[in-house]
Amino acid sequence: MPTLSRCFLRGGFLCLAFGMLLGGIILVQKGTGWLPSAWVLLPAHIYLVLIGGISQCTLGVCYWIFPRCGGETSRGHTALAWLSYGMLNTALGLVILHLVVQALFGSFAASVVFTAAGILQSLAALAFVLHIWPRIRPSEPAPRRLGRRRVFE
Amino acid sequence: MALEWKHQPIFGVLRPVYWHLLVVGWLMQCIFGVAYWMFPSFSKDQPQRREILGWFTYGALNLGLLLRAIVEPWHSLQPQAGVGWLLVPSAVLQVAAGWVFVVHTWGRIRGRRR
Repeated sequence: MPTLSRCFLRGGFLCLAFGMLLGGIILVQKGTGWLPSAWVLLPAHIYLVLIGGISQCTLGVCYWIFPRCGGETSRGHTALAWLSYGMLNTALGLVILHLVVQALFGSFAASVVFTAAGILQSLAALAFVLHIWPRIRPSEPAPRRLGRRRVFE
Repeated sequence: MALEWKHQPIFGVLRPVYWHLLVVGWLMQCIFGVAYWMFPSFSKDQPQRREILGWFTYGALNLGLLLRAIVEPWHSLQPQAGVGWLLVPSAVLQVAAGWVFVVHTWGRIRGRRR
């Protein structure tokens, strides 16, 4: 498994774990009435599970298993995929931080942070699509070893 | 034509269940299943690490989700019925399933063995 896939998957798993924890707190609140302020966690819960967890796991597995380029030796423009990883996680951090920004600097500053997160998230998606597009194709025939010669089917 | 039935309270209270069945019951479970199947093996002796923990994840996730699918709309429509506390085990089961899966699978996110 390549390094970027490991980063996507580990990040995705952490987001899933913490996103589910926030969801659990909200569900307990709904059932018992305990801690009414728990609902402030709802945007972070949705974002962590859907974007941080499910999307990152999907992107990590796509980067790992989709057909490669250049005679199955290269994964193409890997810089774009790394850029996507960086932007996606920065957006995730901004979404979580925007609650703190709201408490410290008010609604306008929080809206600016949230908008920046949205733009970064869109750019991250675009960068990954540009990276993966050439890899959406049939696999090239794998070399088969017969004795000491390599032949292609 | 006015679709009056869309404004019945039952449809409003079913919305969280709908989203969670879709995201947790389908998307997340598909991801867990594919990860369990095709991630690099943990070791030669234990390719899937401890199988019992995989089964625990499966059972806890589905039991928690089923409990939620029954209790959440019921509690929202009839809060006086006193079934809201059943959402606590539902939450615990789902969160436990997620955390056990993450901890259990973490060691299988790795490069090729040298």
